[in-house]
Amino acid sequence: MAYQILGNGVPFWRLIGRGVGVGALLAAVAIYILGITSDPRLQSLREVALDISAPVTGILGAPLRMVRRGADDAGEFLDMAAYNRQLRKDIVGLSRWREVALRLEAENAQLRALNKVTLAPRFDYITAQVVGNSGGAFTQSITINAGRAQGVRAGTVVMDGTAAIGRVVALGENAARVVLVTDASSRIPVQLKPGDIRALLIGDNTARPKLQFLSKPGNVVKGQRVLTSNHGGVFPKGLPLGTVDALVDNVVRVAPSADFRQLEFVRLVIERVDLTIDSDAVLIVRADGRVEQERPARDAEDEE
Amino acid sequence: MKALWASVWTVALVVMTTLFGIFLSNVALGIGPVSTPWPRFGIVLVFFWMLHRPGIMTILMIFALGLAQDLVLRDVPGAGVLALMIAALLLDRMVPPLRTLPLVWRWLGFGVFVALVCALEWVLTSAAYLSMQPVDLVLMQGGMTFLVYPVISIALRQVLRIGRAPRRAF
Repeated sequence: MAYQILGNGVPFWRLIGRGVGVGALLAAVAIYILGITSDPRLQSLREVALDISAPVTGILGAPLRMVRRGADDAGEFLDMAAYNRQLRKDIVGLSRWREVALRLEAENAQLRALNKVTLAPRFDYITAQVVGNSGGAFTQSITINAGRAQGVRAGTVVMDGTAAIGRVVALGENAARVVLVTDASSRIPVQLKPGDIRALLIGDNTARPKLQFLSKPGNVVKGQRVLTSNHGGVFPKGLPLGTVDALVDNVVRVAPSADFRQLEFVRLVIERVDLTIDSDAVLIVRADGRVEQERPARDAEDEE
Repeated sequence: MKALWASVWTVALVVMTTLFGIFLSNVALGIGPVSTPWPRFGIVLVFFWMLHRPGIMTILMIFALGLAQDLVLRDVPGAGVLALMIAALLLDRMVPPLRTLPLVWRWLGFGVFVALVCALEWVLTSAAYLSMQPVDLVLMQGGMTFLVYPVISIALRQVLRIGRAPRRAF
């Protein structure tokens, strides 16, 4: 069988072409196997690709984003009357909630004052632009224009305005790849409120990820809020993800709160680490609660 | 010397247009499972160059461009490149006769190619995740990719005509 694609011409070159073709095919099989096993050797290649593709897709996408924004604006303009009606209804509901929130805030401040609690802000935020999507039908991920240089770390949680949408899985110098909660590889420990039910939110490349390993499966009801729990230490506790949407054939589905179609800017939640601990240092907790490090003797010698 | 520059220009054209297509597929327009997937321009361009510049779009070139596509689009690495290479080898005999046929036939040939690539990618990705992947998104993306072929084909054939002597009227 003479394959055109493997090279033509005299038999010698055809033989060489076949050898190269078979070699390339074997290399592709090897890359596929390495990809399945998440081999770290592929990671550096992906980081290079991320740093190259992020600015290019950012530039290519600018005119297309403008067109899309124009189309969205035109659509909203046409629906303006309906929007106004909905907004008036929302304002009535929200003003009631505002009263409740103000009352709770005052109560919270009183209780904190009684207990002498000083809460330090635990998180910093970085805002980044979405410059690329996965482009494939099998992956739900986005590329953002913030990376190592901006203080992003692997595992950093990413939110839209209000809800968690995913976490950083690959880092370039000025770009990062975020796997969305709907991706087939996404696994997030969650808590259902009310009811305090623990579960695992598992993405399956559909719009509504499913809940598995529920601690109290009988207590799950539609409308329960799904929040992150810090089991596993990747996600901070209490970030909203969505609500329980449906229970079909014993599979609990969650409707994410984020609108993935409108993602243009995202917020990265950077957990603040105030205390850096030297691996050789001794940690001392003082009687007044202060925490200090006692550095090893070799450091003192080095300084001298 | 002129022939050398001509071949360098052709190789550059093939590589750059395919890479451009791959990057274009990565542009953030619709995100997430609820949006319509953007076409895979890389697949369109690989097939177009297999048809019109088979001497350049060899299996080694498909491997290199497929790998770039996998790294940029972040599917399971290797699944996309393997699917492209297998589809190209399977349809290797079908492609040469299509060259002289009208656009409609080339478009249908591309339909077979894209269906094969999508099916193979679906099988390889499902095997990688050990679970059946949703088919609807693949069908939508495959359909979108199939629909854009004539536009790209007509545009690139115009590019290929640049520098060529005009046809005689008789």
